[in-house]
Amino acid sequence: MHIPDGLLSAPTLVVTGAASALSVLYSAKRAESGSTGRIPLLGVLGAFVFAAQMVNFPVGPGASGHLLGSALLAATVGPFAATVVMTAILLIQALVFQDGGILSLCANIFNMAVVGVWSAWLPFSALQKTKQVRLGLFVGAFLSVTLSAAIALGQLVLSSDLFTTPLLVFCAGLFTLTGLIEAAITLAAWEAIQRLEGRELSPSRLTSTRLSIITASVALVLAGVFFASSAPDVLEFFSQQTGLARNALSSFPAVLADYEWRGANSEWVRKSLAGIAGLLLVYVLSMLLARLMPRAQQ
Amino acid sequence: MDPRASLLLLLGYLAALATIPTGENLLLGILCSIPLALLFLARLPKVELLSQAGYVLPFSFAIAVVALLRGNKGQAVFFLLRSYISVLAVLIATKLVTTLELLRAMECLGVPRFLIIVTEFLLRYLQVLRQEAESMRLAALCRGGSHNRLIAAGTLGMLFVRSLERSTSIHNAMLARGFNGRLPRLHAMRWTLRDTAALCSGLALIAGLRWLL
Amino acid sequence: MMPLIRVTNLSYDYPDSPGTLREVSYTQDSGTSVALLGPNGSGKTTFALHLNGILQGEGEIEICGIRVEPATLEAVRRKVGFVFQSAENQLFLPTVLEDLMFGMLNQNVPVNEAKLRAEAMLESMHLASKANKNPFHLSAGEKRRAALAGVVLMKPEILILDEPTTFLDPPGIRELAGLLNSLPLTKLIITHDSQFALQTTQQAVFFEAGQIIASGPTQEILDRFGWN
Repeated sequence: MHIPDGLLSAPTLVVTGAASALSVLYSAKRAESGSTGRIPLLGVLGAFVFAAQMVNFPVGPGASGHLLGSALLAATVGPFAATVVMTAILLIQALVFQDGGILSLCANIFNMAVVGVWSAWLPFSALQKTKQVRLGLFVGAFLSVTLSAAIALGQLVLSSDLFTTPLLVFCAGLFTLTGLIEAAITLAAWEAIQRLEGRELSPSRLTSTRLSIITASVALVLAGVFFASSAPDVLEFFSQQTGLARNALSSFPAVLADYEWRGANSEWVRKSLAGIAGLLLVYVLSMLLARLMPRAQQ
Repeated sequence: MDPRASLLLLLGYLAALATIPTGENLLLGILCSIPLALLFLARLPKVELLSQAGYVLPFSFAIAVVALLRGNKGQAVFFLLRSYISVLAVLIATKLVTTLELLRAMECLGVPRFLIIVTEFLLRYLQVLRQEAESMRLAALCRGGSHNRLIAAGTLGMLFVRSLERSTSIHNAMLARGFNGRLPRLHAMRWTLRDTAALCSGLALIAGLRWLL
Repeated sequence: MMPLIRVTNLSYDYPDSPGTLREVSYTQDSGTSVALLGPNGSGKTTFALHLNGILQGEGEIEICGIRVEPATLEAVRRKVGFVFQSAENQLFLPTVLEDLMFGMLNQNVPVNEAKLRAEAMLESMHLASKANKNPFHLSAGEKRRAALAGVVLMKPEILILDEPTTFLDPPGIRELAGLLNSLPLTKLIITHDSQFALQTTQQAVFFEAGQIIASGPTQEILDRFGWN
């Protein structure tokens, strides 16, 4: 999550800036030692991450994501070098593409190049020792996105009072989903690399099909849970305030009236099931619409 | 102007913006005058930069909508304007000073040389690898593979392996021309009295508008 | 007169390709220009990469009387200039001018002098307007000329070129041939382009399956192996 300038408070920037500076200084020192081939390797891998973001990876019918790269970098070149590469990427994103602010680099570097990389590396490194490389990569990629996003949200909360609990919960759900997608793509990319380099892959229960099913299932559940709020939505709020609600007529029987799936005892479960059903309905309608609409020429 | 002076002025300006208390729209508006004045006085593509800065608006717009829904119009405008003018300031800086010069200015101001060199290599090969990815995408499209997970994974894998091969090839080219692990400093920045005057007066203007008004 | 290049019983195996070079022996005198011909994968580039110590196989190599070994690599690389097949990977610095200066600065040439010499070279190569450009934006011919310039500025005694006509159009190939012929250096040119080989070399050797199986005048080797 690239935070632009203008949203973080000065104390947040100062603290994250100090943490980033120390981490990057130390990482650069550690990464510099070793083969002289490090410089072109890290630079080109940074360019690879940009290029990889142009590859749309299908994650479901009509939906695609792209690789973010922290976990793959950490697994390939180690955490210190990966921190340097991610910092280089963030610098170019801020200077050339205005993706993330310049002062916000203090926070973005800490979140993505330090926390993002180390939260990918630690589980990967630990699980690699038990020969659970795939699981290590999956967990690492997932954590690299969710933890760095959680910290970014925390920084935004500290900087302003705008972030209400429902909004935070919504963002957390979104980043959980993104983390799962990143994990799936990282694993798929890693497997492709192993095959290209002629390394035999040991059979695993963590196949990409199973991962897709897990990801989709978790996404559905999260969506249902996070959207099952008991607060009135915008339209309801407006209609209550203006008195329109009193004059509203029911034209036809509503299947999911009051956003509840009748038949369950718990209110929370009724609302969650309704949320999931509603989401599935929107998804199917969107897909049908996409098939009916002519595609633009590429 | 020396790139270091430009970078320090940009950072000073962004810091002044970041320290404005939320909702102080008048003060924010006054500080906005600096990049806008620069935009209109310098020979810069005004429409292009003003519209390019709008790239940040969707993200900031989401934050502004939350403020609006909570009944705080002033706060919404504040966040939108502050993010927009921050990006505009960066865009103006990168038009007046190249990205390469800004990176080297950062090195002079203490950013680790190793990091800057890696970033320069990234910048050098950014378009090369993006072009490679685009070629692969078109090749897959020509064979009907536009929404295929296996092809996408294969593309990522191939891009990665080719990147490793490319870096080995680059390293060999560096060794062949005498590279011994230390990259020679190729650029020299000369700080003049004019740069001191520009930096001091620029920072004084920013500080004056921010804290004295 | 001592040969400038002397290779004795050179063998090399890539990890996934044993027998890439099999006891290759080769000599080349000063001032001569030789083409390395042969099918893809026959070992031409692998052989050439040993001459400046990028690869280190078994056998003996002497360049200008210096034995190629880890301790002498710096001295050897001052003698041998290598123009790689990929100009994109050879021009690795952010601007063309800086890339041309790179080699000279590694030779401890002062920055100002390196800059002046690089600028003069760019002028002679009709690349002056590209000095501050990212090499990515140069055409194939311009990249090739810039890559050659960066190597020639180091004043080597031996120039090795690996497939220099790749991606060049016919006028570009002619221009490159003219440029090479104007350089009074000992040259070793790996190429599949028979016309280019004839224009730029007098002698040729033919590689096959990791060995040199024939050597002689360029036209004779081209005719003998149907390499026209």
